[in-house]
Amino acid sequence: MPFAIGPEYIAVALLGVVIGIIFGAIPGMTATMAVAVFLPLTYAYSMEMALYLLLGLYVGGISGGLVPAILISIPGTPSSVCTTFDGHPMALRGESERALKIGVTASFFGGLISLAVLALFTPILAGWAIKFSAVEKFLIILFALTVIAALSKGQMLRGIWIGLLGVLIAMMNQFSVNNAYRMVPDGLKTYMQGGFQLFPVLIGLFAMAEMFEQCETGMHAKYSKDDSAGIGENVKFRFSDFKGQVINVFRSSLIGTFMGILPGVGGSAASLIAYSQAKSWSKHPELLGTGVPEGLIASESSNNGLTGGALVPLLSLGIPGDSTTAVLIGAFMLQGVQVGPLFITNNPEVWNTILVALLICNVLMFLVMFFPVKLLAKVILIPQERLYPVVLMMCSVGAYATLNGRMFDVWCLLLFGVVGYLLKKLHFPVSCFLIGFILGRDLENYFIQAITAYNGHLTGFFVRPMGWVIWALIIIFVAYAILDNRKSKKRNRTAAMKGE
Amino acid sequence: MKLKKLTALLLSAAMTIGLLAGCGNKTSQPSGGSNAGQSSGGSSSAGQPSGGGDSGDSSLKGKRVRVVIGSTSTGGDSYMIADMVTRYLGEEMGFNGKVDPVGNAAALDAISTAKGDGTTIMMFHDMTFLSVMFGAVDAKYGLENMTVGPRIGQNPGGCFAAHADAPYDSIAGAAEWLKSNPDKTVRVNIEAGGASHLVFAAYWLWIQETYGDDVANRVKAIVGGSTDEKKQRLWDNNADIIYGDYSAFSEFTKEGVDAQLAMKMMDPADKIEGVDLPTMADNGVTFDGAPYVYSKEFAMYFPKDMDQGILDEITAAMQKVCENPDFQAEMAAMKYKTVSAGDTALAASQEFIQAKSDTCKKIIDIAPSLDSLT
Repeated sequence: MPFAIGPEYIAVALLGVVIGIIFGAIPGMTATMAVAVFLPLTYAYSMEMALYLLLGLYVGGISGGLVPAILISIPGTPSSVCTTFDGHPMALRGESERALKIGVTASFFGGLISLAVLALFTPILAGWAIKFSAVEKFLIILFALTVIAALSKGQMLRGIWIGLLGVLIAMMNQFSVNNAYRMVPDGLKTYMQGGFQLFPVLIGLFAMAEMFEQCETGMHAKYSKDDSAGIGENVKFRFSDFKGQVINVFRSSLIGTFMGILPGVGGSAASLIAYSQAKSWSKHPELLGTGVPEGLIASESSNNGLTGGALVPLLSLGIPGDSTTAVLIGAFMLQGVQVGPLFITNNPEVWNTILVALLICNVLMFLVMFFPVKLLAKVILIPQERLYPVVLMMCSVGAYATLNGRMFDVWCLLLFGVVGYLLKKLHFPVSCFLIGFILGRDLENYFIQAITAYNGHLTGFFVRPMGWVIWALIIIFVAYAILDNRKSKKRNRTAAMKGE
Repeated sequence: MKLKKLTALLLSAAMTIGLLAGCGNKTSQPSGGSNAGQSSGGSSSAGQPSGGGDSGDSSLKGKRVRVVIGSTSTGGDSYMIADMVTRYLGEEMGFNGKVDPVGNAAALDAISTAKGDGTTIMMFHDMTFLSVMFGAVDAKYGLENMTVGPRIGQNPGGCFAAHADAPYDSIAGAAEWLKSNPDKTVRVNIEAGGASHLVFAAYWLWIQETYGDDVANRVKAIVGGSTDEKKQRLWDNNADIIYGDYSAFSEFTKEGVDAQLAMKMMDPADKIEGVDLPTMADNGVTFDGAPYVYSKEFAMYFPKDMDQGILDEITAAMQKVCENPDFQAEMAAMKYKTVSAGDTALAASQEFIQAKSDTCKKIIDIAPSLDSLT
């Protein structure tokens, strides 16, 4: 089993992992950007060296997103949105070190499980993935959207309404089928061909809205000096935190891997589905969202599970599984290697190197993130009036860089900051709006593809056996969410009465 | 106390790095004279062209030049060609160039509002004028409102493909098959407003002229999707023929590929170097009485009030680049064609692009709208 390995490869992988983590941790910067920026450098490298660097950037970039998500409730990447739900409440309770360590460990497990799937089942899974037509992909996105119901916490109608508004806003662009602009004012057509970009919306809704709120209330330190001594020590991390979570880790990692395998289905859907499934199967679903390891583990193991999964269609079909692997294709092109159905057979050494590199990158990611966590955790102690200007500036730079330097995206950042602030004021769940926005375009794309395939007949959504299974999952989950919503309302009423 | 100082230092460093990163995309003003080598990274960091350029007294020497392309992808032919040309041209003229994949509408807007000093260049293919003709962007971005610069290369790789089991081997064969099977249809997956739309329109008009309305009306367009989505439609049996880059399909035509994925390559729209396949023209497809040939033509585009002196300098430098064997080898490795120095000359380039635009307009004007072809 020949493959490339040596100190120079490990050094390059380490560099990639560290830079990737930095990219992932800066709100607005992503693993995709990290790979895109470093891609031209690999021109001068051998194929193997390039793979070590780029896979390091990929694994690091996906993992780095958990740091700001936990510490300042700003998801560093779209796939770490669910990490904020439980990670940040834990940090607020003084368990930031524990939350970070749980997140890093879950990411590590997710990466390893998806690597095992990649190594053992790639050819089988590739053949299976292409059996998923546009109908099934549409239904999977619809299934991911049902997480809105789970996140609404006793206000399901508001959640669904605001989620649908998110879907509608995602459709403000030029429709690719007839080139017509939809809901776009004339003056903005130049900038809105592809609609609002995800990162200004994501960062605006989370970071800017939070800052506007802080401006209103005044930036008080969340911790006093007395608390700071106990940061990370209130509840220490132990590997026993994963006791009872084995199924959660496996289920979430496999969901991430599965979503990665399906070409064209956005990676963000992976953590959303994993989170909602963790909630469905939890013994205490009401605790998810209040700062329990269960939700954090689901989110982080699924988004790292994506890394191996997304490489399956890339290497066996030549079709990228997510946006980052779409850039990775460029690396293979630069080296004159064709990815496709014969890639593994024709390039066994490169294939083995990919597996070894992915393993090393995951181990390095774990080592680089796990041990300095104590230092990272102290970010939460930095007075907000000092931290926020830096975050604001980084967010603006990230938004500006989204499409290679457009001020329009910086204005969008501010606009969606105001939208997020107003939604919070009106007690609408902001995360539901964001989920609608993230999934809206894929939902429309696969709906159009499916309906075209069935000559405009909706019956196409109900005739495929694989579709029936997903329909059944959707119905079961929605029914469960309705019941859970009722229970939540009841709990809220009881709590209110006790309060009186 | 130490931690406080360290935090303050780290935060300040982060702010400084961030602010510097934010300055990264600015192009220099004509009088600015920023130093070459202060690039924000990107294209110019890739393998530098060898052979040594002669920047001489170039007006762009030492300046930073922003090259916008009409695609947002960094893996497609638009980026690859623009990146290569920018590196070689930068070496030749002594400027520091960076390719920004901003997308079509944004690139057209950037070039229509830029100063005519050569520090902003649009490098893109026929979509520059096709997008106006298909109504995808405003008419104000038409060729008459910009300056066409030198041609920089061709991608002749556009090709039709079908499932390996398809009962025809070429698009002309598909028309014959439809003629013999009056109850059958053929669904061709194309992208609205792109090269595939144009080539499909020419093909459809040829069928209508050769086989009549009955056969032509059974050739249906499936609109939308990237090349990857087109391949999936083919595998899902939701399209019968797809159009895309030869290199995107070739792996699926080899022996040993799973039956569900296996494809057969059909007519390329133009001759591809090293590929032994009859083209559309070889198979008899014509437009306006002449064999139909189509290659994606890449050229430079400038603002309408472009400084003629600088434009001449850029053209002369581009002619030298076209003659550079390293450049030719790099282009050939990606299956792209270089243009001869004579064809790169400004007048020849402008005449060529205008003629091509006129032919495309003729096809678009007489082809039925996609609403009636779907």
